[in-house]
Amino acid sequence: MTSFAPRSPLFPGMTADRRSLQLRRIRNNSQVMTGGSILLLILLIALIGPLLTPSGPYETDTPNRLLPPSTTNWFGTDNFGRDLFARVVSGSHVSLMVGFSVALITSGLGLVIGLVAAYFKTADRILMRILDGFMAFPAILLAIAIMAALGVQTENVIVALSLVFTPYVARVVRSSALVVKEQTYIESLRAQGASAYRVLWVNIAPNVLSPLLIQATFIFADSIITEAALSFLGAGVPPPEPSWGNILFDGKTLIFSAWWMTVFPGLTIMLVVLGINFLGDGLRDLLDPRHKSIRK
Amino acid sequence: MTNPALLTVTDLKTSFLTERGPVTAVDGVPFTVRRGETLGIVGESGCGKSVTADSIMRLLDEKDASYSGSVELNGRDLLSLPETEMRRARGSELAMIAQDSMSSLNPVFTIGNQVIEAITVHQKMSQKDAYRLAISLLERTGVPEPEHRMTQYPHELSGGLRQRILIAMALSGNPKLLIADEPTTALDVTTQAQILTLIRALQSSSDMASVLITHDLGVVAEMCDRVIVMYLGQVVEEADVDALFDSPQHPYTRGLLASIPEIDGDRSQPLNVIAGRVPTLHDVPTGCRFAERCDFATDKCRDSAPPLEDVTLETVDMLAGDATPRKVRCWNWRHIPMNTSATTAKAIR
Repeated sequence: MTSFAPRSPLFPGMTADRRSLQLRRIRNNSQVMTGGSILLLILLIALIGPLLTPSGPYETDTPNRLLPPSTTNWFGTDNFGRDLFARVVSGSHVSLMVGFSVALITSGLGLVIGLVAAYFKTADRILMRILDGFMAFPAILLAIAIMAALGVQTENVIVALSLVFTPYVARVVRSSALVVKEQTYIESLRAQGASAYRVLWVNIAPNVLSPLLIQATFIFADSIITEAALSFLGAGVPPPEPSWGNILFDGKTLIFSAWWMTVFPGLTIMLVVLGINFLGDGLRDLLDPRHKSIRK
Repeated sequence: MTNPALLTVTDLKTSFLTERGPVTAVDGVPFTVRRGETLGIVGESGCGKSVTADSIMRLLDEKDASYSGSVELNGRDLLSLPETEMRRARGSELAMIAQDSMSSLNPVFTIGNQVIEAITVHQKMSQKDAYRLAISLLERTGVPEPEHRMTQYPHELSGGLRQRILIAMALSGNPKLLIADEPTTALDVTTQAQILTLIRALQSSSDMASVLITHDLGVVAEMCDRVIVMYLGQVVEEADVDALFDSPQHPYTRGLLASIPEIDGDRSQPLNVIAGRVPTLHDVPTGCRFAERCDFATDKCRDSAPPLEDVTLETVDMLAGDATPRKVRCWNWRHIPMNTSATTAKAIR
């Protein structure tokens, strides 16, 4: 076989390996870059923040309570004189950890449930009805109910939110898998004598990973908001452990005298969720070119 | 033609449960494929060709579909095998090339991944041996630069190349029977010719039999030894390929042959068509299923369904020399004038 150049020199971009092409596509996607930068910044602050604060998140300093933002207390102090910046940073550990854990657990559970439901009809009927039951409740109400049953504890927040959000992931996985399942290559695979296990876990699963990843970023954002809401309502992370939600709660009664106690944690939540949503939207454009949003 | 039968399909019926009640998509289909032979199955869309193929492979979801009759491959009835044994047979004893070559490869894996997977489904061997076998399979199916192709993804290849790779995957288990469901429909004409040549070459080198499903009578004339014509889930005619084109017996076969346009024909005349369309499976006519669209239909045709009967030498003495059995499902085949489409049929050969 005479060898002709596998990739034309007319397209120098194509001679480079696929990885650098992927990197370039990521760099050209402004949403991924913006969202990614915001998240990296927040992560960085969460990591090095404790070194920058004048006092720890639990250290009370009663004479200096309710101080407005200044150069020593960047976000001001709360009604016990605790440094608000230290509390927001410390809260970020809890909030991000809860969000990430929930995204991870729901992705795992949702992948398994969604794939099984898509492939086995009997399992589909049973599983999807159960999930419908879960989805019939508003997310926050169901989360409160589960928290009430399990007890107020940070680990239980993760369990509750995972239960609440798994149906959403499972549905996305199932609907993508149903499409993939009908593709000719799956029929061909069965015609080659592949087992159900091989068809489902080796061949269908990788095809649903991109919608799953996109959904996981939104679950990440959603669970941060829901965790904040739960903690705000007193059914989430128990005080004195700070989370963005219960810092907000502490500030609620003082909103007119100490605005910084609600504005800073609020802004932080907004920024993080915005960043994650940017990242999710950007990833969707990147991974699924058919849904590309129109831009110049 | 004294080869032993490899595949014997007897009275195959495939029904589906639908919301409007059960429908029988394949209704009592019989045929045999001998070793090394190519059998063509032709018919319009919706006449049960693909369902027949899926039934032989047992690829339909058995919650909705039910089979009856028998499909014997080397004397073993595939329809009564437990699913695990059937799975072992798929890909090793009988293989299939599916209808749409453009979407028959998994987009997220490289070619190498998929060919090696096809090999290791049935054969226990090291990755290294599987790789070597994969390369040799790709070489056998005429894929240029096999080592490079192994690292590529399906979207980087042309339709013809993908089809060659699918054929390579189908051959990986050395099947005795290859079912090709419209293997060339998505390809352009020159590629079609190459793929057909390839299939024929592979068949003659390995004594593999094949069932070729198509609606392209040109492909049938080119490739097949024998042909069955299907209409609405039933076989309406079965004959050697030459006999079928020389003297089609069933009015439907004649209509199909007559509908092929001639290259040097009179362009002012409209194309020949078979009037009407295939009825749905929900209201199958009581009499002959083709009666509504048939120019020669009589009251008898509308009232009672004709059996698939043998066309014997005594009854068709004009076909002296035609020694292999022919079958036709028509009350009136003896009385229908022969010349209606024979000339058209010759023109395309």
